[in-house]
Amino acid sequence: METILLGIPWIPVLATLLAVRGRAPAAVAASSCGTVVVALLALWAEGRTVAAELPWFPALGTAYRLQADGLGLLFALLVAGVGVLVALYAGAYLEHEARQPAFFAYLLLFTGAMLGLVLADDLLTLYVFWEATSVASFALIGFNDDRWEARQAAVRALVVTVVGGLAMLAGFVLLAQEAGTFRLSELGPLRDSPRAGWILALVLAGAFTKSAQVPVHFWLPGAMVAPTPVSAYLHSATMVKAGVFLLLRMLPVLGGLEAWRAWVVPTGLVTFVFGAAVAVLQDDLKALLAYGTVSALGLATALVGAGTELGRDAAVLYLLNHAAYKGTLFLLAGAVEHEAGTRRIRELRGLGRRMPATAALAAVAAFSLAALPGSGGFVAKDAVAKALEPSLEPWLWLGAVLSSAFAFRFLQVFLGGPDGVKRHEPLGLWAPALPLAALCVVFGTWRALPEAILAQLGAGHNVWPELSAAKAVPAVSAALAGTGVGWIGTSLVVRWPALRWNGERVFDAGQAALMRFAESLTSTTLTGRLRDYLVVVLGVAVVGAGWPLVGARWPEIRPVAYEAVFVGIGACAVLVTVLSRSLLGAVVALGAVGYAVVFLFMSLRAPDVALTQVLVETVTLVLFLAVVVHLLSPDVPDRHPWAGVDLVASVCVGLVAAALAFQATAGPPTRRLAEFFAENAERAGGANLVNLILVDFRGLDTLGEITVLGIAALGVLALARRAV
Amino acid sequence: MNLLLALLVGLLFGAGTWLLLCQRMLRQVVGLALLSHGANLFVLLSGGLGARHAPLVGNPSPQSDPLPQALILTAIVIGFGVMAFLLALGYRMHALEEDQG
Repeated sequence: METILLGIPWIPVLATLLAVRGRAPAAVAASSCGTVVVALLALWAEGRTVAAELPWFPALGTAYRLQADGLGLLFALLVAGVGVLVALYAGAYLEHEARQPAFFAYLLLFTGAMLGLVLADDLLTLYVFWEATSVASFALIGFNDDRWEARQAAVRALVVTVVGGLAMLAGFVLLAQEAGTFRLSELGPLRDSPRAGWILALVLAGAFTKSAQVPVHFWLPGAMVAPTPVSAYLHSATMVKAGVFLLLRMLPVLGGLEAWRAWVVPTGLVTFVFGAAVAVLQDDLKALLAYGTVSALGLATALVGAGTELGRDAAVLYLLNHAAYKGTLFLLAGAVEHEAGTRRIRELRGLGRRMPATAALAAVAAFSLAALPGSGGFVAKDAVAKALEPSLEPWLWLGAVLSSAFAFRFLQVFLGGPDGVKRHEPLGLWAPALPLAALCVVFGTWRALPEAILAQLGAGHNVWPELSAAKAVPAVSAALAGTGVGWIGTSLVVRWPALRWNGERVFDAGQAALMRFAESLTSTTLTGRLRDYLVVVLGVAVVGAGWPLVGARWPEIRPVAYEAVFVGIGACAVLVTVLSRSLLGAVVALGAVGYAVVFLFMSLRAPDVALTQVLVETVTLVLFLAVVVHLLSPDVPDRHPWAGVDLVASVCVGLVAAALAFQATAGPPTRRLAEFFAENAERAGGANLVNLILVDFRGLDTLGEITVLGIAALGVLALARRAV
Repeated sequence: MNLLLALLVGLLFGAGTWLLLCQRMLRQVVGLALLSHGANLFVLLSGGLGARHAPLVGNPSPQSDPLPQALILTAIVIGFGVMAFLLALGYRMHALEEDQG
């Protein structure tokens, strides 16, 4: 059993290898999900909580840990069961799609990740699977990647869920530090502390983004550009429930915190009412269902936020029910679009005559959505009413009216006379919805089913609502009121077709601003002008070299000697070089600087250096003059507008260089190397120590120097010859 | 004296930087030449000032340090190579500009 448990998430992943080969990928996907269902039922029949683990990062105290407890099993069954139906449906829906194998590969990867997520018993295992579902969702939303809207919607969904996921990871790490373990089942209730507040906020960020709570709900309606099987599976039945699932997992750990109720319940309720209200005003069948999903996720969130056992059980019942009716409606919406070529409610009329099976199944699901007695929705709504505080009753009633309203709006497409166009009703597009629609009825009529679910959760109470007038009347009246609201909603949409509420524009504006910021940052730092880079390099050099000089002890000043004359001549020549307006003057002054330096070398007892300098200076001067004579076209601007910056940079560099040079004269210099050279001069065969260093002691350096000169000479030759 | 020489080094560095930052290529080459003079003097200064004799075996003490001198010799020659290459480059650039316009 333990091995089966560990293997469950990998069954669909391995099936991708078969799916991408392209032979009946739908059958491969459906049968792999079916295999998972069988494995899960075997675990269910075991009657105990099976747990297993493989080592992963022992040093971190984390492992690949799975656990088949009641909650995990219920959600895993949901994922795999709906997976079978969606795979069968997608086979018919994407009949003519050339990229079917890729589609099913993504779908199977998602299924594997989602199974791992709900069965995980380790925070990091959970996180990895969580992000894997986001990535699979990205690939599936953007499946029609030749459309800009699809790509953009995929990016929005990915950014929102992954940012939330990263926050959640940070929360998990803090939580594991606080609790001393990454193992979910070992985490105890957290006490109130500033750190617990952070943990709660970060984990909630993950849950709210994944479950599309207001104000980050906008990615979910946007994700409706995905092929309909994806909307039914990921964005209604399974993935978006992961956020609420996380709340359920964290309930025993964080549910005791004071901030839990204060944050989770209002967020959920606002999302609940907002989603339902906006759903009523949609003209697109899938958008209507998507906002309905947002609303349902809000209610489930609010239920978990109540922090009670009743709330938890009601949330699970409600989510499972929601998967049944919303999954049905999505599959049928896809069928309508597939056959009618549009999803716009205004343009769809009288489909009931042409697509009777679709219409009948839609009616069943809509009844459950409207929570009419005898449907699963009624059982769930009753449990919800028991779990919430009586003061929240009006919210619930408002939500029920709005749910009925958009259920009615969905059914509108089947009402009225036929439009005279012959429609087909392929079996593959409605039969997969049949088991889900049946579930809506079974849930509401066969009390053993909700009870079995509650038993799995370990609950000791009964939720079965005995049907009475006191319960049926409000439910029916809410449904009737909803029908009226639905009519009004339709007319509103007809009058203002542009009526849309979404945060997409905010996201897109933020994205555009980020891109503009990046571009401006790049263009200000990477100017393409060497001079700007040079200023940065010099600035770093000035700060780096100047920093140790702050507060240093300065050496004593030695008396001025006759060499001061050469220093003065050199300084004057430097000034002339800089200030000379003509290039020729500057070059001549540069020569004067060189000769002044020669005299300084001599006075500092460096005759060889002085000799070399005289030769080099002379040749350089000749070279300069030769070139300058050719180049007397002073039409290039001499200075750019930021000459002040240049001046400051130059002065700073000069000051730091002077200070460093001054520091270098402090104290007697070490003569160890000089003594070594003097002692070994005889063995090197000479008396001039400088020459000996160049040709003997450091002879290889000189070889390198000659090589450099040779290369420079070749370069000069090439440049000069071509120009002739 | 050491302060005066240090100030000259600073002046050479500052003036070299100033010219290096201007927009005409030949001025930049002049700036580079000033910078290398400054660097050479700097290295020589770090070898000490009080010497009275060149570093030859047989000369009496105090001799100057031969190591900085060897380093500077190498630097002068390399600097000359760079300068020649830059001047040739400037010449070629100018020729190209004339060809084009």
